[in-house]
Amino acid sequence: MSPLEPCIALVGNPNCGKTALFNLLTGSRQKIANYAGVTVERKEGRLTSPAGRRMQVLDLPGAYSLHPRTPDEAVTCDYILGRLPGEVPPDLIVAVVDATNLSRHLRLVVALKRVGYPLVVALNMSDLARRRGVAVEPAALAEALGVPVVSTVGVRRDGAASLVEWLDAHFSIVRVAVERVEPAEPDRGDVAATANDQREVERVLAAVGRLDPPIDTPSDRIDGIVLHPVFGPLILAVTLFLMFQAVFAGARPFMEALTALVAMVAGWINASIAPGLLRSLFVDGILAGAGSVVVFLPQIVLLFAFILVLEDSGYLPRAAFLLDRLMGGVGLSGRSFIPLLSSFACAIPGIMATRTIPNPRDRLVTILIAPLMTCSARLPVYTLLIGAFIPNRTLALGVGLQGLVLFVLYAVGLLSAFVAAFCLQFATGKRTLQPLQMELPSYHWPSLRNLGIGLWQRIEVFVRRVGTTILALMILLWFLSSVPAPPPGFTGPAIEWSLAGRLGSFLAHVFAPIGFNWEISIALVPGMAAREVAVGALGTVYSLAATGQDVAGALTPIVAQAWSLPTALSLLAWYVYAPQCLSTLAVIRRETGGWRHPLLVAGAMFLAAYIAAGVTYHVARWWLGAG
Amino acid sequence: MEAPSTLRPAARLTLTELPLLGEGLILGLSVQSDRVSADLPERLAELGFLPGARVRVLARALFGDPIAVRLGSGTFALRRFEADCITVQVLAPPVCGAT
Amino acid sequence: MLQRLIVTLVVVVALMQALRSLLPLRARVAVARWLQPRLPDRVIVWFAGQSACEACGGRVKPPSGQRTE
Repeated sequence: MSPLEPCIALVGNPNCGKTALFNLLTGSRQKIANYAGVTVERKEGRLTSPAGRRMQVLDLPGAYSLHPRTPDEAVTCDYILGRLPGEVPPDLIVAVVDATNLSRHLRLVVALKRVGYPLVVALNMSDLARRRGVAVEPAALAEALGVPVVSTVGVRRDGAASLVEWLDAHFSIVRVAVERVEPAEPDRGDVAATANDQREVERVLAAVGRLDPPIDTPSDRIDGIVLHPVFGPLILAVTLFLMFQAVFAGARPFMEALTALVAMVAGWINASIAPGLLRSLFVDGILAGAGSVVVFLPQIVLLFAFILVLEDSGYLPRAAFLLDRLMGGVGLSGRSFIPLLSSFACAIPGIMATRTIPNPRDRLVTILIAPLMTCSARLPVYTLLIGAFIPNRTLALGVGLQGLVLFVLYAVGLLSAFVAAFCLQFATGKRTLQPLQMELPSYHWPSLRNLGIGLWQRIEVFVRRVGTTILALMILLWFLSSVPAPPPGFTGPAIEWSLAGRLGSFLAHVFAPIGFNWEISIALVPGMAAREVAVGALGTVYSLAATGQDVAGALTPIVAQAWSLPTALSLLAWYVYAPQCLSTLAVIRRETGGWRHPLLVAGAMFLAAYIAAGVTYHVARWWLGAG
Repeated sequence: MEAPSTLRPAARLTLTELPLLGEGLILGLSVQSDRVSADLPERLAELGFLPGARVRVLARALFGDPIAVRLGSGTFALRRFEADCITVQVLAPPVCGAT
Repeated sequence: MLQRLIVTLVVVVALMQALRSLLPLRARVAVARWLQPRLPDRVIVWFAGQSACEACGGRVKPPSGQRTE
């Protein structure tokens, strides 16, 4: 950061649109969604104004007061109150307030005014306020409040124009000229002090002639049904169930097209390169390996589309409301629900999102059970095995059996997490009642632009992962499976003589009791890096082992033929628990500040995976043998 | 901030006891149980549950826990023991639809 | 012969890519230090990451995010 570049910080209550505004100002694409606590870290960006002035913009997690109660609020408060050594405080604070909810949001502005920084208020969501008939005039508010006010619309492309204009016209402080602001004493944070601030807000609002918001907003009417004690849970169950059906059925044509494409490329390479090492590298290593993972892109996109719509509409906190009783039963707070649901996409953002949980014990338990949620990297493994072994039958009412099995696998993951939380509450000592205090935001239609950006980012992440990590691992696996070449006269497939083959047969001793063959045992090793790598590894291993057979893009039929049903079920059970994701363990280490917890998670999950797979295998064998 | 004088004296209830869709005026915040952390009233105050604010119970989950409460133009989900900390005076009988 | 050469090259690049995406920053920087006399600067920047290398004033020197010397 250049010393002359002024720094502005966006501060406000949770879910008032700080990040949307930050994205507008800096051209960033930070994640935004319609619930409190999406941003849990400080984000930095740069703004160049039309007049050519450059400034640094900081996006901070939302806070209800300057008296932090959660780790994410602490980030904001420590920064504003200058408690971080070596940290340059902001030159200007942009206090973002939700114009439809001034009586709460302005209280933070009053507190910020007391701290003493230069301040400008951004009346965000001003379009919505106007539509609801509760808009106030920025000039009047500025006069009553004694600080400049501009109105903004975070979700419109030119929504930050007036803020930028204001910055250009009035914000002329250059850092070297600024006297360091010594922040005043932090707020006491007790009820009387808060009530005092609220009186000040009421005075301001009375001065601008604020209109009371209508009591029966459309959101309330929707909530009457969605939060209903009987219909609510029903709607939630149907929504989630439809989601998994759609993920399975909707993606099929696209997956088939991708499979055909991979097979076509393989055929083309087979025709144009002479048999040998190079051709084997392309066909067995790259296409059969990375290619088998690429075909799962449509499913992952579809799953994310559902998750993004749920996030953007405001339904997510309602789902947390409905399941709160269940979470409370195992000693978790309802605040744990959103981090856990985010873990359906990937455990890493889920674990980050636990920073919104006030109680450290609660937060730790949530971190420890988050890896049990079925993340999207497990989807390829599940789909492969379900596609190979579960008949594509339609049960009653158009419900597909395959989608049902997928739903059950997700449910087993969730149930295991609850059981783990229940056990952990005894290990982590005395518990007090955990508060919920969760804001239920107004519903709004998901923005297509937001959805598009979100999906595109997911596609980018997935393709980059396949193109870098997975591709590299597949090439290495191919190499280890190809050297050393077998001596003349060796009759089996060459891979059995190779380094990987020998490792596989050694590991097979460990995994034979739970029904895994040596091919699966090999695939589990690179699968340590990330779960979906195991699918690619199986592709490469089978491609090399099945001489003369074209595996590229057609792993499903080969697996269906090579494995018994108990083995497949056992592997599914393994993957419900498998801790195979180095990045998740690394994030747990960072968030808990030590190796103890990540090692605990890895150990416990390996054990659980081994036991679950073993039990599944033997029960399935006994069942099939008996029936 | 003070309660409108036209109010007839009404029963003091906790927010938990307020009937569904009924409106109440917050009288005070207090901790009822030693299993609750002591700063709970402060936190509730920061969300806006302050004496003098009007609240309305929008929904109750199965078995009455948690409850969804409308406060100003925001909605919050509170667990039962949190709502127990909030004393209210009944303002209006349950109504359906807009007033 | 040519085939062998290409395959070796691809495998080496894959190995580096795998290390690059799986190793944590500090370990990656250590590997980059060791590799530096043996490989061109651009490869080192790619391997260790731009931000780790920038710490020493734009020059591509062993990424010294940790500032050991």
